[in-house]
Amino acid sequence: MQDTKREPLIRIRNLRKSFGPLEVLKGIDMEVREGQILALIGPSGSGKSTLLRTINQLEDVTSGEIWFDGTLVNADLPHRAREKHLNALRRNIGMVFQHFNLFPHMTALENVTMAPVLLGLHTKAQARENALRLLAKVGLSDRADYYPSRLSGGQKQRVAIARALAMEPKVMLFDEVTSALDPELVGEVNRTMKQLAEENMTMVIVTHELKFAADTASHIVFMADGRIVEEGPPDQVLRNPLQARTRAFLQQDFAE
Amino acid sequence: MNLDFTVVPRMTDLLLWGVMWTVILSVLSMVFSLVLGAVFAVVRLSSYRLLRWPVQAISWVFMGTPLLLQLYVVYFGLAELGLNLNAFTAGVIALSLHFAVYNADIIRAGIQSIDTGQYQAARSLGVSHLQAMRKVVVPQALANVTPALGNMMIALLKESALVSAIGVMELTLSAQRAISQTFRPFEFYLAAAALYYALNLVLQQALRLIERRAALTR
Repeated sequence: MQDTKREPLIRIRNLRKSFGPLEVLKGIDMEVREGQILALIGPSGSGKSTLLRTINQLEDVTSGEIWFDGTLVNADLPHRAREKHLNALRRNIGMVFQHFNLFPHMTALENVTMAPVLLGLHTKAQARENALRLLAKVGLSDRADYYPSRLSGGQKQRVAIARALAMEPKVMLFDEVTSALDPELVGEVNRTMKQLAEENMTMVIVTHELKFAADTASHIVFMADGRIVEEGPPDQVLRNPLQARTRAFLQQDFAE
Repeated sequence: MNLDFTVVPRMTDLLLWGVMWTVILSVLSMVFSLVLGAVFAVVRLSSYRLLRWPVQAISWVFMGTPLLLQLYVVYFGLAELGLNLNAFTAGVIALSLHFAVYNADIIRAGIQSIDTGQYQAARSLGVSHLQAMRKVVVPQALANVTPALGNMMIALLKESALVSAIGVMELTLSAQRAISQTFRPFEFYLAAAALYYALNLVLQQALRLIERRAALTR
């Protein structure tokens, strides 16, 4: 079971982020513990994707602190030192995107092996073996040599998950990974994520699918207008929310 | 006027020599102009001003002045400064730089057309800026701009004729040699033109294959 005394894997302190005059994150405090499956939910424009992307600094922040595994992610460093610092951190933070962002000029296998080989983690042969194992895990052994253009959306997203897993990250970030999929393809991606959750991967999932969040997450964070409104276990936040704002969101969503 | 093309076969060896050197000169310059063009493009898009400005200056100079003068400056001008290049080397340098700045602009536009998600996906895996550019962004950009770069390569092959002006025995100069021996300018200029045309037909076929391959993998 979780050791609650241990330092959380991710700790966010009073995080603020503005795009020009528009403040999209208005002081976020959040923790992600090892093995936790945290689902970030909330209406469009609530800042949940932005928050997720600050964790690996695809978005920089205006003020506040992000700690990952004992390191200050958004440390104020000169450009070159910051790049090195982020490269090292990002190896341990896997990310899966809404629009897959598979590399279209590489096969599924090459997509998965690229980073481990470039970064010298594996030899080509090791990386290949590892990639084949990961592709088997996401159910795509027979698609290793396919280019992304010949894969369905669900298959692409599963390759993208395998690509992130190839770095053996300590946490996986999922940014609305099923939003761009045809409804009948959502299930296969969700199953892959559930499988990861069962293996105790630490996961932060931005999602619009409340049912999936209820089934999979161990912790729900509800955001609105750049703030965390309410958080807690799924049973509480999704079934007996304390805040009126949460209730309004849930009603609206279930009414759709 | 009586044209007599029977004089042309008598100079076959000379003309083939010219063809050979035109091919060597052009292919080398193509390779260098593409590699340099890609490097210039990446530098122009980088955040390092100290690198960006010299490249910007090189582009202005090589786009704003005639290739013929560039050849003279690289060959005769640098010799005055004590840098004695042979004519062939000078020709390759001038052709490569001249076309590199055009290629750089084409490649830069290609890079800017690639979805930023590609770059972000690469960086999210922990690879560096340069690795992300080299492995992910630039190859896709190149595939998109292959037709435009192909046109530059065809232009380069033709413009390589200017290198005859600094005495490289390529196709144009060997045709001129043949003329000075036979006093038959029309025949040999036409023969040289036909040979350039044939070379470009071959080049176009090669480019078509490359384009098809680039299109296949997406």
